[in-house]
Amino acid sequence: MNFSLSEQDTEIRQLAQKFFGTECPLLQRASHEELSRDLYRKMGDVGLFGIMVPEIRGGSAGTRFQAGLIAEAAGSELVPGPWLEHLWAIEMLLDVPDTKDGQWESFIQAHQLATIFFPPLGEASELWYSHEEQRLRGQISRFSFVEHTDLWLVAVPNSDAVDILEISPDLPGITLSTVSSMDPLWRGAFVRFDQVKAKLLTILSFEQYENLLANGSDLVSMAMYGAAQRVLDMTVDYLKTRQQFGRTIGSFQALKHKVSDLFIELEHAGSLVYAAAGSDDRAMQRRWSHMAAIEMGRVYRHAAESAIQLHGGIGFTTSLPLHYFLKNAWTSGWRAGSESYHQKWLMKEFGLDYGDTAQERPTAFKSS
Amino acid sequence: MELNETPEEQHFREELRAWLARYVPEVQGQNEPGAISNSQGEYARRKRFDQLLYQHGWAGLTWPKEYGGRAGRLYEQLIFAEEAASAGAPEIFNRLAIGIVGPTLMRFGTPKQKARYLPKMLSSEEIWCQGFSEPNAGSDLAQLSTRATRSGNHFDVNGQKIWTTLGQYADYCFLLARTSLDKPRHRGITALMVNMKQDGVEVRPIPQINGSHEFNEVFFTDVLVPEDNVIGEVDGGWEVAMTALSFERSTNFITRQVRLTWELDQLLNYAREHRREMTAGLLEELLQITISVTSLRLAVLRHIAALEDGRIPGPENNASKIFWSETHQRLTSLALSILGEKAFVLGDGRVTPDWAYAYLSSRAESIYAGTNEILRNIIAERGLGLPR
Repeated sequence: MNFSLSEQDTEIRQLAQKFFGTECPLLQRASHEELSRDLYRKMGDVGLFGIMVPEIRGGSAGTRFQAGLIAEAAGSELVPGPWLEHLWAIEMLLDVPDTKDGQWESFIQAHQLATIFFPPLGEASELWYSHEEQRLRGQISRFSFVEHTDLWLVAVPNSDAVDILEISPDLPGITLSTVSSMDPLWRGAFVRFDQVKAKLLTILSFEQYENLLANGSDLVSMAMYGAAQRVLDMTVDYLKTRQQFGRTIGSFQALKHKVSDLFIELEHAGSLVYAAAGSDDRAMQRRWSHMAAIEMGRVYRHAAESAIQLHGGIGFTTSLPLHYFLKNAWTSGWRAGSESYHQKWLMKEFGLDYGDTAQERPTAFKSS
Repeated sequence: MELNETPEEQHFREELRAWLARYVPEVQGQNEPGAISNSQGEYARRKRFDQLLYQHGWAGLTWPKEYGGRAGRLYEQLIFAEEAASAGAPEIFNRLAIGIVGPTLMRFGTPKQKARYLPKMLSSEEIWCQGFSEPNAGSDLAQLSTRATRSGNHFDVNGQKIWTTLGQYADYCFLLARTSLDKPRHRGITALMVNMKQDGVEVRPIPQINGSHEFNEVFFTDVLVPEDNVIGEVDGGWEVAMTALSFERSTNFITRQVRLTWELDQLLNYAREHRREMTAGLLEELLQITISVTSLRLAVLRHIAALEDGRIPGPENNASKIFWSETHQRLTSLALSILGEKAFVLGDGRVTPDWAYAYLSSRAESIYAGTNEILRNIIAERGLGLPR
């Protein structure tokens, strides 16, 4: 048992922090929202996207946890765009045997950017795929970063497995309309598929698919952890400099206690996040992963809300990037499954769900 | 990062489990692990368990070999706590000696002091208590006013200590007293080892809201302490005390979450069986607490790794103390909500754990070992660097 980062982990973490701190610094960059393909190519050049890819395919054969450390660093600078979806897509493609070498190179180098639509099981799907005709019809009401990517991976659950489709955005039969969101860092669209010729990439069992979701969820949780730590750092810095009543406001106990609470919450939620991302025991990873998604989501939101309160009036303005964190805290939390999805899974895991009997219960106004 | 146990760790766990299965039945009492009653039978039972541990080489797990310990890792201490709790073993009785006073003496004691006191701590032949807090020096410890006045080669001790755990059983007290009045208050304090079984020492148990009296008041009236019993320098006691507190705070966090996990498991079992009688709100709160307890355990593992790497402890263990005590308070409140009247009956043995006792006891946990308010200040000031 050893919860320490290895030397290699530490190196990758420092490299990623330094890279984003130089190339995409939150407090110095001209635009917080603009998605720069140039930045993505640089990320490819330093090997951030190839982290989990075997060396034989041009990657650095790192671990899932190391990909998480990159997500943590990207989260702390609020890097715009589909970097997380792209990493997640690459992780998914690792299990697809017939991906060509040339394709790997273009993903790792970010010449081609991918995004994903991997909804949690149990949510009503509005997509239908015909294996015979290889045609997709239906709609996705909120599809992340479709306008900025070159390849879409879409999961279509059916009664006994999940089809993973590869879709090129320029195929006939696709119509898009942009959806605006309270989070300017999230870009997405409503997408309709009208008998679109989509390639069936692979078929995953429910278990394989849920493992894939858990892996993505761990990337999201690591990104949220990075962001929440940044929010805390910014707040502590502000409390050390702002003067009122002739004193540094950080000397007031009421504010000390609020900021200590954030530290305490982060310390514990962060441990869950690291354990989930670092575990190679599937059963434990699934548990920790769902817990981390719920807890880190809650703690990140709380940190962002408290940060605005602790900054006072300036916190409510767009002069500081705090509002991005607040908005991102909500959209991130839903990037890999809703809170209900994670909670339901855990209720079942711990035997706390009502099971089938819930349906036998009387409704509010009519007894059965 | 390796989140599985190594073969050595598994071996340690199995060996310990077998030993506990063999010896715990010898000392099993009616009380749950950790609960302290004041009966003499309880005293004998718990001291006997300490001595069994000593005879079989399990005492002083993390003490260096030169002092008779096993030189084990902190993680082994966690394994020990987990296995002991699930075997229903009593808590280590001489825990203040082994966890706090012993390691402090190793740092500051003379060779003669170490040779005289350490072996009897390890064997639990001599039970120790700690005399730090006073009625007017609680959170503000440096305010303490118990006096130790030099007369010849002795100190004459007068004053009052409070919240003295194990005071009624202790053979020795690790005492802080004021030796100089004309120096800044942190520099006039001395750490002394005081024989509790002598004239002038009076121990009065304090009745607590949980029906127990684990804590005591101790009165010292013209108690003579040989100068050989000074730990460290005369007037240098503050440094000794801070070291002792750092031992307290760096090891306590390992064991205390184990009992919390055990209690959570009991409530989860109950809830599984009775969930159809429970509202979704209660079940969700139970899940939320399960998440908190899991994250606490993982934070403890992360902290152990940091200490084993030789990194200097930061504010993390204060954070875990706050998180632990507040999570335990939530858990025991929820247990009372779920079990209702079944849980209100004190210690009739029909409900396990004794939730009413656990609930009432948990109210102390955010107060002792540094109130959660003081610890929040420490996190903000020493951890995050905010001004005083």
